[in-house]
Amino acid sequence: MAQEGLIKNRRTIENHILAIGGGKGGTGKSLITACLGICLADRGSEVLLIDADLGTANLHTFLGLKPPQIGLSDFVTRRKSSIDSIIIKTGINNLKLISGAQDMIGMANISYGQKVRILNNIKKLNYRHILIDLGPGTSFNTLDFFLISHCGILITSPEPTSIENTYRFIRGLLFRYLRKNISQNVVRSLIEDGVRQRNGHKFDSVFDLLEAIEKIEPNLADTISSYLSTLDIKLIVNQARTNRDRAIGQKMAIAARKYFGIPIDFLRTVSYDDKVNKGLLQKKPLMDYFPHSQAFKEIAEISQKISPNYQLGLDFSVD
Amino acid sequence: MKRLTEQNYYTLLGIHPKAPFGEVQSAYDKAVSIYSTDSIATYSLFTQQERERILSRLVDAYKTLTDSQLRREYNHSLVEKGELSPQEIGYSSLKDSNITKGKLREVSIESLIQKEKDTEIENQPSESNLDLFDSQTSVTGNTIKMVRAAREISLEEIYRKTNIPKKTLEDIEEEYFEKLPAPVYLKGFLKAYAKILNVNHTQMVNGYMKRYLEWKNTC
Repeated sequence: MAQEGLIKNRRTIENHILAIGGGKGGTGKSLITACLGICLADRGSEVLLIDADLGTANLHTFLGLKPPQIGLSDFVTRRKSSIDSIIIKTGINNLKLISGAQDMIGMANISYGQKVRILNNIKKLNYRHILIDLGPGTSFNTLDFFLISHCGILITSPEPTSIENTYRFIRGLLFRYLRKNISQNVVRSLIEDGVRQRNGHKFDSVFDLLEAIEKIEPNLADTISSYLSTLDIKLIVNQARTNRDRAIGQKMAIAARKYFGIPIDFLRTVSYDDKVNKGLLQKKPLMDYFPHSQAFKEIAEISQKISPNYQLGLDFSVD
Repeated sequence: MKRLTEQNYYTLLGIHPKAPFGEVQSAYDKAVSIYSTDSIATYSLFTQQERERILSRLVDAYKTLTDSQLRREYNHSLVEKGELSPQEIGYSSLKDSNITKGKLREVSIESLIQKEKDTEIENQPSESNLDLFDSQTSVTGNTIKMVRAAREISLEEIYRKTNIPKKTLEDIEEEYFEKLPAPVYLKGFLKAYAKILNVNHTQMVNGYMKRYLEWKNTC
């Protein structure tokens, strides 16, 4: 595609992988993943949802499905050898799921090798959109799933605790990203020191780290800046109730961009909706109780913004 | 991209070098709301020290960019450093009047930090500071308006800090009771308003609601 060369992010039209994460539990990641999947599927795209909330998977519940009999766990334990064999229908047109239900004990702590196998197989899949629900926290597993995506979406609620965890997530992500992409030993141990705050190193921000790196390997600092600018991170503020809540997202994005020096865009605020709690209690699928709510409309708008076609139309600038 | 404390004033504020006063003002207010201590949006992102450095820089930015002479000198220094091109500055097109027009207030780092300290006091369980209103008497809209004027706070500022619509604030001050929302909301608004004015909110709410209920009873 002629336009691709102008797009700053490495993004293909097929197999657009989107990761949905964020530091705190209960901010609405699974709900939003399910809704985004439904909206994209509704417009005719082939969509695959993957529940990578290892050990605490809930995506199937939002889709109104009883805990499916096969899922990611089977692939990890090699009961099922191919990833295609664990993909199930959801009852919604164009929407498929890899469930995290029926997970084995210890699912949250899969080995590095098991994780790499999952990630490599995901990359080989062929769907228009793949949405990965990461679940909360900042463990390496969570961060690594986030890093294989073309675009990562962070969900926060407007409370200080959630916001704090969002910034923690970004910090963790950056250090993980750098560790994985930099092979020079000297720099790796510098990052390691920074992470563990030893040898007198404490990096409050990316700039501190880059400054320290510049002293040892001046050219590398530039390369790293370029790596970082290829990240595509977006922010959603969910469960907003007041005008003040709604103002938070844009402010967070501005501050985070300036503080971390990476591209973070604020997508949209999504309103709090108590239909969600009520519907969940009744174990109804989302489509039964949600579509008429304000929040669903807002998520539908988001689904239009993240679809690659939309991006192609806008992203003609070269950074 | 440079770190926050090293970005030039235009980048820091997110404005174009030719931005007129109105834009500088808005950008400054917005930046203060992002980086101030009571900003939830940046909770945990900065240490108090970092915040003070950023706020201090914002104050410098405001003072420089709203003064014709200082701004010209600043622009010149940026051109010399190679951070801006002469075209971007456009000496002739940016008139002095556009720089200083409407300049409302003195800003200082002390007032920003003082504001933060006030917030700390507010966050303690005890009632907030000034007992301006006697708990026995009712509080008129006009009194509220006068207190606001004495503190040199505009309705715009109250709106920005509380998100209470300006129309509602006016209605409160002018005692257009029939236009005001239901008591449960009204009390909330009054409380928020009182906090900005730094007066005892219980007294202000109770005092005003006395008048409101008097009116209600005569309907």
